[in-house]
Amino acid sequence: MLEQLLDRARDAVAVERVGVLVTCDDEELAGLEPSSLTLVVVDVARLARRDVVGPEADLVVVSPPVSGSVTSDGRPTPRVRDGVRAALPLVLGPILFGLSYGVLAEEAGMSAVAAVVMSATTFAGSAQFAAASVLEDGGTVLAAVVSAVLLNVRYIGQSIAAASIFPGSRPRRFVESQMIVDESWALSGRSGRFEWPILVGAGLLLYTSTAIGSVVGSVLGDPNDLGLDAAFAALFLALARPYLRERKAVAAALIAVAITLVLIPLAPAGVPLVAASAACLLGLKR
Amino acid sequence: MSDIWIVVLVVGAFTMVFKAAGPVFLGRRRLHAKAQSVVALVAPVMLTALVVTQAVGGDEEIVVDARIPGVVAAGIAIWRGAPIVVAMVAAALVTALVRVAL
Repeated sequence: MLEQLLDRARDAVAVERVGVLVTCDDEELAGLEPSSLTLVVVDVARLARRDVVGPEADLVVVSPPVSGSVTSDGRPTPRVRDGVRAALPLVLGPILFGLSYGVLAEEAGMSAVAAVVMSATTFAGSAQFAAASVLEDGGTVLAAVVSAVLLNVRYIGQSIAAASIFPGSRPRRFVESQMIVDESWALSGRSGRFEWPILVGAGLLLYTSTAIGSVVGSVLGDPNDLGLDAAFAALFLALARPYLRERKAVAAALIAVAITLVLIPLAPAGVPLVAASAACLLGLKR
Repeated sequence: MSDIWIVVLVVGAFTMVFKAAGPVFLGRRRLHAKAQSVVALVAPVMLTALVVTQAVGGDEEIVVDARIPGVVAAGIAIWRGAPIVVAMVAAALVTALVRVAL
């Protein structure tokens, strides 16, 4: 822009302020990056006399103290540790969750290693439970896989919603996107737009606490004496609750309940869950 | 390879790809609105179905036992805004007490 101004056969232009938008750290994504922008404003008027600002090189001033510390709306850029802090109040959840998952996994005949590997790769709460609970009920491998995979299809939606905040190369985006889990995803969007450090920080904390819980849980004993089987149902209910604010979701959930109740006595374990997902087609209706 | 490891690895692979779908494959393109509204219902539908299988599911039969009062207690706790942990403890406690009493 400055060049255009100077091209018009003038000796000098008056420039009061020069604003530069600095994207976080990735040239590849420059222009594609709607969030984490840093606004650097250089007040030229302070640097030179207002009336004699020529096309000199000193117009371009690098401003080290500002870069990367403030977002365009003036808030401090969140750091990964802010994400960890944001997820701290939630940490008991994943620990208890990992614990009860570990117990269920042990019931389902999974070794502690398998339980932890699943926590590390599937890291998605309810799907881990779904797979373990189908196996525990004596369901087939296919039923366990399909019900768990279906349960995680929602992550495609979450992943797409937060797609643009992930910086860096494809492999890096792949690894960091694994930190997407319901809670970290929800937390990272709390300011009205998704923030990468929050998502990764919260994800890391939840990831670790789930894994630790799974290890402890899988070496514990029979869950049913303690009423933990009912606790699993309570957990699913609590996870479902936030979704059940919309009428359509409630209607779909009720259809799912009906399908499940009808099919439990008729079909092998896992099949009722898969069949219940047909209720999602209600989404096609206006 | 045992069945369990097949489940662990296949589900793990699918989940990792799902999570990476946005940032890695789609970038800034959006899902079709209709597809989005179907995907939006997956979580409530699957979770409620899981509540049912976990609360009354048996070996190819519906079993009504001490889990029911536990789940009801949890339901009350959740609807009154209690945290997940409280709901789970309530369910476990009520179920365990009913089992001891019967």
